[in-house]
Amino acid sequence: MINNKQWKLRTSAWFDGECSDIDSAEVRAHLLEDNSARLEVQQWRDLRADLQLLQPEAASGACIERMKNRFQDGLSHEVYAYSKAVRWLNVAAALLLALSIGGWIVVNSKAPGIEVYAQESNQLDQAIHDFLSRPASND
Amino acid sequence: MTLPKSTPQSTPRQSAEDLFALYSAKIYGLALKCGLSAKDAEDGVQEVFIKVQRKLDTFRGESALSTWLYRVAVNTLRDHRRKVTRYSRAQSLTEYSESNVVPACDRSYSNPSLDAERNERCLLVRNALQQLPEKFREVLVLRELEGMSYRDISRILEVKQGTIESRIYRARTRLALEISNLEGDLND
Repeated sequence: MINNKQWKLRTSAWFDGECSDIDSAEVRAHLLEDNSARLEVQQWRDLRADLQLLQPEAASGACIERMKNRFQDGLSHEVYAYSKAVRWLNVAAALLLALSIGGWIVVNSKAPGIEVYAQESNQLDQAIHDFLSRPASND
Repeated sequence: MTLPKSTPQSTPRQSAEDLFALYSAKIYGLALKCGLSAKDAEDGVQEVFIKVQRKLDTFRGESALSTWLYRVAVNTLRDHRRKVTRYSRAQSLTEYSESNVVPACDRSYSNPSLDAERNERCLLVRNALQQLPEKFREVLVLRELEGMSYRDISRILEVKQGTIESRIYRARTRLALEISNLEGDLND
C-alpha cells in the first residue's frame, strides 16, 4: 500500500520524467482518481513556467572574452604565486639542511678539553680536586 | 540538459584552458541562475576555473569530466555566493544595487506593459527562490533551469538519487509557498 507521501514523491518524479513505464501508468491512474494530486501537478507546471523566467540570456562574446582574459591573468598569477611558494620552500629546506648538518657536527665532534677518568666517586672527587689545584697554564 | 557520458578513459587529457573554452559560458549561465549578478557571476567563473586548474591533477576519473567540473562549479559558486551575500550585507543597499543588476529580470520585450509585468514576476520568483535553503535552491536550479536528470544531480551534489527525488519535491512545495507569501505581501 502506497502512502500519501510516497504518492507525492512518485508523482513528482513522474512530472520530471524520472519514472519507469509501470510507475508512470500507476501515477496516471492515481491522478485520475485524486483531485488534489492533479492540482498539485498543475501548481508544479505553473512553477516550472515561472522558473523559466529566470533563464538568463547566453553570455555575449564580449563577456566571454573578458572572462577569458581574466582567467589567463589569474593563471599567470597562480603560476607566479606557485613559483614564489616553491622558492620559499627551497630556502626553508636549505636552512633546515644547514641547521641539521651544523647540529650533527656539534653533537659528534669532541670539544677540546681535559678528560678525567675515575672508577669510584671518591676517585672522581680527588681527580677534580687535583685538576683545580693545578697552576693555570699560559697557553 | 544531460551531461556528456564520456569518461576520462575515452577523453584525452584536457587542460584548464581547454575546459574554460568548452564550459565557461555554461558555468556563467549557472552562476546567474544561482542568483549572482552579472559582475559576481564573472568573478564566480574566474574562481571556478582557477580551482579547476588547481584540482585537475586530483581528478581520478571516477565520474565523467563534465560531472566533476559541475561539482567543482556548484561548490565554488556556493562559497562565492555566501561571500557576496556577506559583502552585500556589509555594504549599503544603494551602493550594492548598482552592481547587482539581475540579468534575467531586466529584459526588454516588444510590448512595454508585458515587459513590466514579466520583469516584476521574474523578480518575485527570483526573490522567492533566494528565500529557499541552499540545498533546495540548488536542486531546483539544476533540475528546472539546467534540465539535468536526477542521476546527474545526485552525482554532482554527491547525494543519493532518492534524496534528490524527495529534495526536489520539498523544494517545489517550499517555492510555491514562498511565491504565494510574496504575492500576499504585494497585495497587502
